[in-house]
Amino acid sequence: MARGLVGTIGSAVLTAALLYACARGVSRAGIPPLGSLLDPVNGAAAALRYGDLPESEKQPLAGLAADTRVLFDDRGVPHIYAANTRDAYRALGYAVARDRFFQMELTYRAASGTLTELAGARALPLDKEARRLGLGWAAEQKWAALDSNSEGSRAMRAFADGVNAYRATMTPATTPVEYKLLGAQPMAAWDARYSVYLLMRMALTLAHDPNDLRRTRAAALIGREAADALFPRNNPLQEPIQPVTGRIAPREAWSTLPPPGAPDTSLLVPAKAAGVIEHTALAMPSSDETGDALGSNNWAIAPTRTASGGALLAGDPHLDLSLPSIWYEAHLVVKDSLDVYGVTFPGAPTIVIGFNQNVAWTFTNTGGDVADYFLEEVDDMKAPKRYRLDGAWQPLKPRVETFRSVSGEIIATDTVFYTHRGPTMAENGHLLSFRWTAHDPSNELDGFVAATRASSVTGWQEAMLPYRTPTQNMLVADRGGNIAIRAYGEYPIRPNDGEGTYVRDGRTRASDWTGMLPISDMPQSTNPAQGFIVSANQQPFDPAVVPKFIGSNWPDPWRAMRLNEMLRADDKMTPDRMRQMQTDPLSVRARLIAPYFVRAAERSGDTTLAAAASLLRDWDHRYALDAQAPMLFEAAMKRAIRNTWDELIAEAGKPPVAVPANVIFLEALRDSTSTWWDDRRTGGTVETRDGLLAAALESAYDSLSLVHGPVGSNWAWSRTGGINVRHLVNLAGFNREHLAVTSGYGTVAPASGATGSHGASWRMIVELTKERRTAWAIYPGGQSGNPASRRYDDRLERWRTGQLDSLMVPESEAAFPKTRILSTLDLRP
Amino acid sequence: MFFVTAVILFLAAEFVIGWWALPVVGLILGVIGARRTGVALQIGGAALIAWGLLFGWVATHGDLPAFMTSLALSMKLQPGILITAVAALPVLLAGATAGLGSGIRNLIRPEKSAASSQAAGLGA
Repeated sequence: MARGLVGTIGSAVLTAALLYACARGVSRAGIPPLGSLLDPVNGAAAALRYGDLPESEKQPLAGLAADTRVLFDDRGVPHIYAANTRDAYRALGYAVARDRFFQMELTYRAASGTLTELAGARALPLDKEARRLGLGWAAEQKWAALDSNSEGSRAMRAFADGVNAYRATMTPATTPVEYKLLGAQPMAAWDARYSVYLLMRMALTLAHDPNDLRRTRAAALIGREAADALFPRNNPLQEPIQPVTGRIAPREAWSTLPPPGAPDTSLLVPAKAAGVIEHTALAMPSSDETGDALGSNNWAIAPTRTASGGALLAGDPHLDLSLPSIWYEAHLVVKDSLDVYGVTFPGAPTIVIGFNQNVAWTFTNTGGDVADYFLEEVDDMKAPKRYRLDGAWQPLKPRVETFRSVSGEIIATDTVFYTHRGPTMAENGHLLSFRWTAHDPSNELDGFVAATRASSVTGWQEAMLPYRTPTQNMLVADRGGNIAIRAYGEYPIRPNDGEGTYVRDGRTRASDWTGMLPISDMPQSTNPAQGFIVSANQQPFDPAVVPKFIGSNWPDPWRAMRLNEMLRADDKMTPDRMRQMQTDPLSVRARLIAPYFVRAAERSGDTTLAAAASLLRDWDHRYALDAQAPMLFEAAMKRAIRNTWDELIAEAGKPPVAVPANVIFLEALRDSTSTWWDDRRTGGTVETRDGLLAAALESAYDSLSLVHGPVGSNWAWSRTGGINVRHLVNLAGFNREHLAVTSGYGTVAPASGATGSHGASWRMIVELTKERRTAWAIYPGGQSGNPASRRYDDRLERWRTGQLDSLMVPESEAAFPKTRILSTLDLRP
Repeated sequence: MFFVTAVILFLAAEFVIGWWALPVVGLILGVIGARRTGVALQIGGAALIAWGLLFGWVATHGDLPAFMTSLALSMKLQPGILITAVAALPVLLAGATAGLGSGIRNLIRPEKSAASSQAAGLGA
């Protein structure tokens, strides 16, 4: 009896422990609920059963006006044939949710600062940051200001209908595997307003560059004059987006860099505050971290310079690459009303980049200065209630942010104070307020929805007028042979010098913005005489032609220079040549800078340097996968840049407060007597340009020889690590890492280095002739967010090798080739 | 027959209540089979067979070993540990609940099942 009792108690204890682990998991050990994870029918492995789309499926979708058919082609792209546009958006919502529900929820939660409700307390720092940046606050304001009858608003609601119709069919087995690993449940419903949050997330990625903070910190160390020279308003190499008539080469506007000056003591206080705020986890990484890999390209060619006699358009927006991709490909058809193909952000109700029967469009980021920070004076830093404005105290508006756990319990609160400018951030004993165009009410979706139906370049440009943020170079071409580009978005008009390059004085309204630039003042060009248009994030205006401030410290012009030279050299352009251009390996940066290393090495007479110089001298400046010089050049550049800008290091052992663009390094290289060559850390020794370059090259050569052995195949550029395309939440088993791609620093396909994950997120080429539209495209990844699906990464290898898929665009169900139907989804009212 | 019935019950219950089939069916079968020798081990083994069959069925839909390897890496585990956990869970959970069921029954009616309770695997 006693033994039986003991055994029973033992069984009870074991049962209880196992039930707890199965039902609740062990969160402290990072173990999710094991039952719902390991269960063969409904657990993670069930993802395999839903990896393929069903051959045919019928589902109800409340709100549909008529039956809607969705044909998935053999690339997993839904072609939606609907009776009206809102039904098309409903069907799109259903299709996107079926493939990408977890991604949609994750992106919404990242923008709204509610990740803790999905991932627990570990996401609290990210959530706090999102709320302090006012992302959710701004999204709420935008939603409240929307006209509920606007096309964008109606599209969002219709899209939500589709998402929720899919959500209603979700079972434990079809629940994405990520939820099972996180021990969370999918959100109960998708609210139409969540689409606005997604756009705020994109604004954060593309329009939140804390350049002012970096410059402020730099000026506090080296003085304003030197900071202005290192982070200049205008790029010294001009190949602007808005072409200059008659110009057939970049304009050089070099100057001599002033020596480092005395610290600007007036900036010490804002610099101290800026130092903490700048290093936010959510913000876009600086070019120091990404190697310019966030740079995007687009170009369009007029019929006079193409082989077919039609217009050609190419685009490859570079973003953070992820699995699943940031993009979802779709085709929406409503007879006599809509026929648009392209990509959308999962969660946005319409096509963002793509083409219809008559017009094609794509974007690059314009950048520029669309945000300012203001140093505020408050009554009490420990418990601020008021801020001083024009000599009087104004109340700070507190907004209490509440953070909840997966189970809904409140795990933290945070009070964010708002001035009339926007949210504030308190760091290092100071309060900075943040004024950002992305916070203003807007309805970008009205523009996107209307643009999908445009029939000409002019019509498309008019349709996009409601667009506000993030500022984009919107390139468009039509079947009439027109090409045009215009920067859309808002640029603030500032008082005094008109520039917003430093942290501003918050104590006076005289620091505030006074309006926004009208659209007529934006960078733009239509059918330029040169017959082509190129944008690659370069400074849009040549200041010698249009001396208007819309930003400073522009990205390096290497990609723009290379694209322009390739386009100038070819007046019979073809789509396949455009495809090759998208992965062109030549770096103008290397072409202009490498010779300085070679000359410095040759002057030294050192034998090691002779070998290194020989490698660089014989290099054609192409980052081909088997090229050996790029590895040496990049290692030498890293060392040379670090030692040149030592004056920007505030504390020994810490990284510099900011790193000037490579083109400024080139500007310094042109002056062998510049005081910037002296490394102040070496005490009495005075370094020279050639000495610094030679030392950097020798150190790089020795270091690489030690790691890779003698120069040979081990030095191949392909061995530097390649690009990583990681799962959305970096689940190691679902990542695809170290992909050898033809890319390099300063090339048209810039790389972000061995640890990077930025690159061409959607390569697209469209040919528009009078007779037809033809398109090719690809993105890294696949349509499905299910890691067990063949469609999770089925495009990755073709993307890696620079190939494009030919896009199928049947205008009707009847025209759809039966052999290419992968799956049929019938949605019924 | 008891063993085969147990496997079938686990299979059927999996489709209705998912992983809860392990404790629920395990408990019920433990009570029913309390007089059987080594009932907990038998039921744990039946649950293992049922899960094995179900995973075999899942494997017909795709590359299960590759997916489980990816899953393990995503959990920062060696794949072998995850496979071991997948195999151990049905044995332990169904076996423990069976032992609990048979133990409770033997405690309630000791005169009828004293002998079998001592030999009831985890429950004895």
